[in-house]
Amino acid sequence: MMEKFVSFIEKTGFNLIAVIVAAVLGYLIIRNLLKQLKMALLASRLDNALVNFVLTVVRFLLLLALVLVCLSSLGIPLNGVVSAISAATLAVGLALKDILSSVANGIMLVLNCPFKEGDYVEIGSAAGSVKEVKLMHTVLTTPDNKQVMIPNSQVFASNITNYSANDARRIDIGVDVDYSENPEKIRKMLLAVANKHPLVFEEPEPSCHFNYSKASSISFNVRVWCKNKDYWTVNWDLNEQLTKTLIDKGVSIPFPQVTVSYRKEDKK
Amino acid sequence: MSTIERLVSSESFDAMVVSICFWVILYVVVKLITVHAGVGNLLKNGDKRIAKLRKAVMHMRMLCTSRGAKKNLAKSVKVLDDVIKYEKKATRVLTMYLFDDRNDFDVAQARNLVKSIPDACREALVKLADKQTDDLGERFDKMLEDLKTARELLKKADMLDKKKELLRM
Repeated sequence: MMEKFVSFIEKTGFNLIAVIVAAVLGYLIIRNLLKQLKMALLASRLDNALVNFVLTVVRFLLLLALVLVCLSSLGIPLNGVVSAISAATLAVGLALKDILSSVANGIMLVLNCPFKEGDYVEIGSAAGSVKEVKLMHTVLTTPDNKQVMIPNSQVFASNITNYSANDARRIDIGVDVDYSENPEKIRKMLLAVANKHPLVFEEPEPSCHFNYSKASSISFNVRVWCKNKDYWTVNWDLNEQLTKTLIDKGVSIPFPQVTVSYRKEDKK
Repeated sequence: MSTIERLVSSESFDAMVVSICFWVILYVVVKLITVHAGVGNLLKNGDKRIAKLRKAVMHMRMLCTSRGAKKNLAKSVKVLDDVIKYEKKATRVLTMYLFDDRNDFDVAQARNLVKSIPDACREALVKLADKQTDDLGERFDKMLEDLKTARELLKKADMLDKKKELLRM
């Protein structure tokens, strides 16, 4: 009995202890390495979503490497393990086709960087600020503080509109006045208001065009450029100021109307 | 030969010792590098680095407000390098803390205070070069006060973290 125990310890026991120590220390080493990697990535001012993503991938790869090292130390042939992993990957890949497609799209999203954390984007029918790009989901926070999680496969397949990508944005404001008004006078009036706003760019300069396409009114389109972050301030200010100016100057603002005329039929 | 002697003299025992030594050495090396990088108790490390930064600013104050301040300009520029170095180290640690705990207003404020120091030092040196030394003392006093506030904020955040930890237990 004793002889059997000693023989077991000699053959397997020491090896097992070495593997356990390697696994524990290896895990601690990986944890420390990941902390350093995180600090280095943050110092390089990478986007937070990208940092999270890189850390997740590196953690997975390092842990897989540690498991393989431990298995090889235990004398398990890695060829078999690699084959098993391949077979399992194939099986899991077929079963989790959609999920894996999301993961792959997540990688593509991070590499292509169509948006970064904090950007206001519209993906398909959802719009909001990007909170996080996870391995499988992109998380948006809507303006009314709801959280929307969109699978990365959908994100990648949809049209992405990034409102924060450029520094400047154009604002188009529609103004309707009565047909009886002088269009040139109104145009000058609207342009003067747009030019006066401190947050509106001088270059490209504000413009105002009109057309007679509407049934009850002459329609003006005021276009101004401003900084992206000032978009809503300028939009609300200008809407208010343009309307106020028109009212103050006594310009009549139309409403949909129909002129009905009666015609006396000749008595036959 | 006793059982223990037999086990100890076996080849597999030697292999185990070599393997364990390898992993322990690797762990110690990685741990040393990690500690040197300041990863660990981030707030404590941040506080330490801000203390070093404060020392550098005090040194600069001494150089810029002494009698032969103009002559010390070259020395002050060297100290400015130290200020930038310590600021970067402190900011890096605090950024890492904020990455995990984004809503910590105190730490964010402390980081902003630390970040403003190199620019303030540069401005002070420009003033010194232009011989406008009237308010230099006040400028450095404000920087030192800011750093003091930053350290207090970190201590406050550390206390709050400890309280949270206790409540979790």
